[in-house]
Amino acid sequence: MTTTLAREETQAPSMPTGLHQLKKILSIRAVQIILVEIVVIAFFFAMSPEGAFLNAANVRGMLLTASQVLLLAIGQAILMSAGKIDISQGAVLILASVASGQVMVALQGSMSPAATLIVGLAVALLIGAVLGAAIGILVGVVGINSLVATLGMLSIATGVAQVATGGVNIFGMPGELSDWFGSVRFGAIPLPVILSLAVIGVIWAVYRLTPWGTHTLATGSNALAARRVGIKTVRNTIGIFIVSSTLAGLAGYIDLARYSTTNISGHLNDSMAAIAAALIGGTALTGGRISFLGAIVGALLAILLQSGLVIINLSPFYQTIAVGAMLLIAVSLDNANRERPGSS
Amino acid sequence: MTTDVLEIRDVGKSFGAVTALREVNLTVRKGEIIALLGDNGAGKSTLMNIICGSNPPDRGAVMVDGQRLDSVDAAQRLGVGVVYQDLALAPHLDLAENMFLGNEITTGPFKMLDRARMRREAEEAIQGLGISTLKDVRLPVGRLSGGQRQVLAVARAIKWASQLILLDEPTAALGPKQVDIVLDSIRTAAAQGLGVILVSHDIPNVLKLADRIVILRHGTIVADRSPEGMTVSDVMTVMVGDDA
Ligand SMILES: Nc1ncnc2c1ncn2[C@@H]1O[C@H](COP(=O)(O)OP(=O)(O)O)[C@@H](O)[C@H]1O
Ligand SMILES: [Mg+2]
Repeated sequence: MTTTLAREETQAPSMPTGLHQLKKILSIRAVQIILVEIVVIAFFFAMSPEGAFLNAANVRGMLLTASQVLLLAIGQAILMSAGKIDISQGAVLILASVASGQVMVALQGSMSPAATLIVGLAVALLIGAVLGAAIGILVGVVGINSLVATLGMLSIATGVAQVATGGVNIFGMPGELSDWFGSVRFGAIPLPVILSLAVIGVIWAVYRLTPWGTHTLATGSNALAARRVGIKTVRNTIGIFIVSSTLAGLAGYIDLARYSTTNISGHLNDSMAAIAAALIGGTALTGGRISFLGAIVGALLAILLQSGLVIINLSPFYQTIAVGAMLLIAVSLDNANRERPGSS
Repeated sequence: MTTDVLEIRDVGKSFGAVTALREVNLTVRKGEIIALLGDNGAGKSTLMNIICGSNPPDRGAVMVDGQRLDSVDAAQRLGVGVVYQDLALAPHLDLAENMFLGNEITTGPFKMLDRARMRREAEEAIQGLGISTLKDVRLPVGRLSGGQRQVLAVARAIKWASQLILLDEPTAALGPKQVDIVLDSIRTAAAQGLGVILVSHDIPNVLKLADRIVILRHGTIVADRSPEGMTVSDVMTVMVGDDA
């Protein structure tokens, strides 16, 4: 009874079901990216001296970078599913790390190390949440286009971070930040990666298993319809910007823990990378669709290319070209072959 | 125990110097189908917006079940379902998700979606209207034809309404077969005891469907009668009045 015309149409009757199943799996964007990644990994492994691409240090470095980029890409995917975008993530990341770093430097000695680290984390998250709420209000209440609102925030947050630091990175973080968090590993897996994946897991679950995700998708799919059925679209908009910017704040804290310093000129392309990752992964800019797994593997693809090109002694600038090409290919495939909307 | 589901008392509405509605009085009974007719600018949309709570009147009151309806929330709470002309569906979401949009069934302390139950109830709601054109409730609404979407919007309004449904041009831009399906589902809704108010320009079908026709002209009701014995040209004459 639940089989339908439209579903049967996509199923060529002569095709054996096993083959059909395989074709279906291969049509999933995330699966396609994973296959590309397997090839990329094999290539760089073979090309790098003594397989250095897959040695522990390089894998750890890639994973740590992933722990930050994935947070941003997931935030971006959620915004995009509602038809919004955030180009200020990198700036929010920087400002959160600056504020958190300054607070931890000021507090250390007067507080236990554990308390200092927790206050530092709270500051990073709070900066993210407050800036996210500000963007959300500008977009949802004032009615400013999200690209414009976050363009403004990009400028403001970058400027405030530079004013607060005089343009000089902050050093002298409590040693425990690295010892207890940034450099901690479980086997090969750094603790920030585990934290990041746990946070993403929780967000995925809330998005998929509660009405929040459906309401976000509905807002992106047809905002007027969402309002008419009684969804609080303004509240939803503010909420998703808070989520996205708070994730950027967490990424800023991981940045501090990883390098024991701020990196105030190092993250200005982060938002673009996160948007590209979500797009490559099959989330549409126009709203109504999201792929969490796609955003994750899309972000990993860029990281693999970046690291691999360095290891085989090619300029990492090629990575920029490769990611751009991937993005355009992915979006072209998307338009040519629309999949079931709203699926992941 | 009254059988009235809607009572409009002396409603008036102006937009600046334009009087869109004046001294409008209307009562709708359980299971009654009312067709609201009128020329362009007669005040039909204004009256529908007042009844669905999205644009409160300047004067008078709309009462449902003895309570005042003065907001969209109140309309929902009082069991008034609306089928907007644009249908208010999310094309990326599936039938069941659209049917329950904003009214999702959740379970447990974490308010988890009960998707299985929503799908089952969506199927039941559609089957209960005798609609055979919507089979798979997991199909994205973007894949449906115009007629299927219209039927879905009607089915959704009926599912959530307990007193009254409002329909704005429910058969515009549909083929004859699809029009029949939509009209049948409206009849079924009325047979289940809902009051129905529809705005339509499809006068031949309206004359067959409606129990009463209410004609607005320049913001006032100029006719409120049974369609019995009325022809399309009779209706047109009343609609345009002396302006013709
Ligand atoms: N938002 C509005 N602002 C100003 N005038 C309006 C507005 N809505 C309706 N009107 C006026 O009120 C009158 C009734 O309009 P309307 O209810 O849309 O008529 P109908 O739906 O029967 O065509 C018209 O003269 C129209 O110009
Ligand atoms: Mg109108």
